[in-house]
Amino acid sequence: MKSTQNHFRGISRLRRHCAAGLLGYACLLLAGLFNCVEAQSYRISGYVEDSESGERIAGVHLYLEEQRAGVITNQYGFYSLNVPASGSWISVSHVSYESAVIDLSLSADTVLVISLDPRIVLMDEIAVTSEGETLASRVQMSQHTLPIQQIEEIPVLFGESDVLRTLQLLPGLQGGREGFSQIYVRGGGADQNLILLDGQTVYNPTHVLGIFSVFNSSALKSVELIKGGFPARYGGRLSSVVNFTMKDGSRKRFAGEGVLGTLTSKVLIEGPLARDKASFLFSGRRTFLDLFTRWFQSKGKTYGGYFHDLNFKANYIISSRDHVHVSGYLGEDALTYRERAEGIPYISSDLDQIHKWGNRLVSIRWNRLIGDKIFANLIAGVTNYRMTQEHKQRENLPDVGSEIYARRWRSSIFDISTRLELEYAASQRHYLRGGVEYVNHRLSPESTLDQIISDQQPQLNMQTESGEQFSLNEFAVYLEDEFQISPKVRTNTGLRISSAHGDGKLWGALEPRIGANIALKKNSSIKLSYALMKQYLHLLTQLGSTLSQDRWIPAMDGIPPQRSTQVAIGLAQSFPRYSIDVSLEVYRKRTHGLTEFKEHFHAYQAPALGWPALLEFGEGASYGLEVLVERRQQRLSGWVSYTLAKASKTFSNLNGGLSFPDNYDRRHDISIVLNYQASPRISLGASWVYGSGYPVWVPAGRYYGRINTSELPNFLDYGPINSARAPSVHRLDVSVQFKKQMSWGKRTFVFGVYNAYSRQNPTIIYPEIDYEDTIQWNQVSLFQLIPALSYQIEF
Amino acid sequence: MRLAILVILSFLSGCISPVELDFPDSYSPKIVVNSVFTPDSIWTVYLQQSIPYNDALNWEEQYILNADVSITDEQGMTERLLHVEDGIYKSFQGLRPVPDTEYTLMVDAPSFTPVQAKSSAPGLTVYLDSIEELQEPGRGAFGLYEAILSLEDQTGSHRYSIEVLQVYPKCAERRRFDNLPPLENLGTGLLPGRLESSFPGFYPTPAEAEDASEFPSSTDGGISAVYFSDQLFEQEVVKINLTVQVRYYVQVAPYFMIIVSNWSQELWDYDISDWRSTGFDYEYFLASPRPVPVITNVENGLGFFAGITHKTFRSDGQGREWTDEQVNLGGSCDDSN
Repeated sequence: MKSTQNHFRGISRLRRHCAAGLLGYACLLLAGLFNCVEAQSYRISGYVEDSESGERIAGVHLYLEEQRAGVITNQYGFYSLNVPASGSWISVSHVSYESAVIDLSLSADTVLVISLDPRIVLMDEIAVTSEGETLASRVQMSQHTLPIQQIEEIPVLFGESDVLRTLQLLPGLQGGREGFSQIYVRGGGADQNLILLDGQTVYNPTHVLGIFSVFNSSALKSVELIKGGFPARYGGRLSSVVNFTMKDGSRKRFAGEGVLGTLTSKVLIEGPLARDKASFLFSGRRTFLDLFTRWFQSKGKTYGGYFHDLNFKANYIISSRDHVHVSGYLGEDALTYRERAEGIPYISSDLDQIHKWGNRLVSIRWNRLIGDKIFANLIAGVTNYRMTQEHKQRENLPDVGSEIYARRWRSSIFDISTRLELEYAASQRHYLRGGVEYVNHRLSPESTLDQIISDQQPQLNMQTESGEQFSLNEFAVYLEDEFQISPKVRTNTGLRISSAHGDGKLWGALEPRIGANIALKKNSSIKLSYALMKQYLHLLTQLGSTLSQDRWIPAMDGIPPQRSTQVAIGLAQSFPRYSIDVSLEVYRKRTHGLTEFKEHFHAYQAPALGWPALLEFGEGASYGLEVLVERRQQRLSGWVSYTLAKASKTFSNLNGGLSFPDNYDRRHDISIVLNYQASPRISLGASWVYGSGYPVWVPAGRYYGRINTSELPNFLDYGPINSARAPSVHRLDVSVQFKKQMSWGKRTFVFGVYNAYSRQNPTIIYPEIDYEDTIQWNQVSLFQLIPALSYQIEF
Repeated sequence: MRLAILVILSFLSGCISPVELDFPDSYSPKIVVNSVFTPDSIWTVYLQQSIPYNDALNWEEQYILNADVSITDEQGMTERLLHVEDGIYKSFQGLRPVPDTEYTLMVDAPSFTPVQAKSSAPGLTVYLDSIEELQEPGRGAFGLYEAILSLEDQTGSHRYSIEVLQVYPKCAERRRFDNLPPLENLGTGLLPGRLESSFPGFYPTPAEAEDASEFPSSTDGGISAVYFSDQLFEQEVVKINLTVQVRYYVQVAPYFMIIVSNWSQELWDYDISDWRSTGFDYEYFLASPRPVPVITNVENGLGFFAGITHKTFRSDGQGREWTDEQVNLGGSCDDSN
């Protein structure tokens, strides 16, 4: 305590020599940065890792009890903090690990790797008395980190634990249509989420047209969501950052996991390549719905569909300071339709339609400790997303040959990126991050290949290709400083300078980011944040959701970048004794440069008219109130969230220039998620969700059209966009897990029910007109009372 | 095992049920105008009103019977149309539109917002240079006729169509062809015929003709109508060769007509939006796209007021013109005589 008082007296002296206002702040900053007035201390730095697997652990809180100060390990498990020369107790805690207390007495700067034991089973109520990081003490607001273990215990559709679907249960996130895995954050579009897997962008995070997410939870180590108050190190998207980190693979022993589920099965193998030095992880998942459906196909017509994904990772610890990782993901979806028409005299015909899409990405990462205070992370990688539709029709004429018409439509985006991040633990009160980032995007929003091959009439043979390629170079530098201004005030201020060059145009932006945490009293605080974000890519979809044909296009002459500003204020209260965090946040977000297709225009007109001519540009506004009550590390854990929100858009040439509700504008949203550890072998999970109705753009009026004497019924007067509301949605999902420790490892049997009381929630709404010309509105409810079983082994 | 899987899949299958939507409070009915005018037709306008989407439609209640309807030309000459019946308003003096003249329609009716719309019937200069029989129709074989048209394109952008219609006997659906009545009692109607052409730039719909990414459509095998713009022959006289295909009917000699039309921009755009509003689900695997409303050129209202100019060339198998009376066009099938 004494050293702290000396420290602040030193700062006060320094401040007297500085001018007021900003200059004063700068002096304060310098004082902290150069640590000129701190008492004698030594630097301890290193990593925190899992004692069983050697996995490095992000988000571990290291806390100096006497100094009442602490640090959090970064995404790569790195920490660095000052310890008084006189020695100190350090408590080390993480939600998924047994806490540890280390008595340190240093005589020099030290590199220390700390091992934590995984928390196996929670049986007794744990009274957490450690001064570990709480929601109230965290400076970052609008952030959620979910332990993968908890995600795997939340009941979900088809028994497949799904990270994105679990994130939908948090306040401020919408899932779109019932049963789908997209996320829409605080009124933003699906394209405004920066979804990263080991630092590489994932452009389409869903399988099966949005029902499953592409992230195989078995291969994941952590997931972090930020929906506002973005730190300067993140950019390029407006609405959220979802940061997935894959497991490194055990450096201690070979291990594996196999899951046999209702719709998908997966395997995972991990182990050391060189003990304590290098490891690998390989995970694969595939659905086998196509094997089921094949049994029920009519003769001559075959429908099919599958998805699979592969994750791999290898890492090598070159030295205590150098660590290299290589990771990758390969995923693909396919929907197929095949028709064989036989029996027509002299002619048979084949029709093949294939719709495929998938992400492929690889990244190489080099972590290096430079001295005791600087952590460097160099990432290079490529990511590719493409969507293809193929249509091939062949007519076979005996004695003449065949005639083939084929068309292939494709949309793709390919990125090459590199990023250098530096983290500098300047002092106990300053943690600086800086970096540079470069991405080269190569986009082909729409290309087609047409072929005619005729044996009978060779003069008709042709092959034509059309399509346009774009290139966009994004460059950004950033600097941010997490600064403990006083015992009660912490800030994270930063500036990101971004630029993009493409199509002969150069854009640039200063993106200030400000976050502050003002402690009110012990375990409660007020949080504030402001962020300006810029996005140089647009996702065009004819549907209003990422379904069939998605096209990424860059900012170009006539298509401005997207920009948003978000302000949020929040109140956080932690009750460490009960492991309960309560947060309340209010936000307001304004977005510029949103795109929509003009009425009566379609993407296939782009080659003739150019993309800018097809689009309308507008603005968005959203605001809301979010409440989260969360309980962790207890026999009964989970959370309750409530969101009150409004999101609208305004386009000067749509809806008469009047604002209209966003497609996913939902006024009320409630989620209740509970996990109960009934015994060491049995755990129960339940989640209940309620959401008020989404807007629907349905016709307001109708009329008979007439051309001369021909009467054409039911012409539609659509009226204002999204002016009607669908019914509310609610649903209860439950699951129970039976775990048993076997001689060879562990087996888990999971039984779950999605939509346990079989609520008919709308996925599609359509009108039906009867013979008396009266309208009946119907809904299609896709998912009702779906039981799921899965059997999992770990060894 | 199969039964078990069937049970599982039945859980996964969708369920359809009635649903209550929360609709906006009120809908104000609008005036709906339907008027396609041609230089050879008397001014006629059909007026109705739109209704709230969820109301049952009583057809007769939708006519607007007491509107003030007028049409004004570029010189300010105004013709007032009178209500005839069932929301049909006609020129009392029997006036007809003049080609290449822009007309303004104004409609004012009690309890509705007044509406107005503008359009013109574009001029059309086209000649049938020749027509020649290539193949006589017979059982299992089309009749083939080669026609050459001269189309004189005017200044400005123009949108054309060529359509073939064929006279058919209304009794042709009956099986006992041998007992069919004579032609004058037979009753005939018009069916789409087919044409082939080597002329470049033909498309099967106006929407595709407007889409430069589409390739011109091959007419091999025959097509009932083609649509094209004057992008390839601005202000030129072009020769268009057509091979007309005519079906064989045992009791009716080949009678057909070739209709060349010059569309106003308003009617062309309306047709495209109508096509897109109903044809937007052509892509694979689409569920429910964003709605594509049918456009209107009626300010404050719905429907359309648009001109088009037709030129019809009638020919029998020997290249002679024919009349409606000659083939009893529109008559009913009556084999009792």
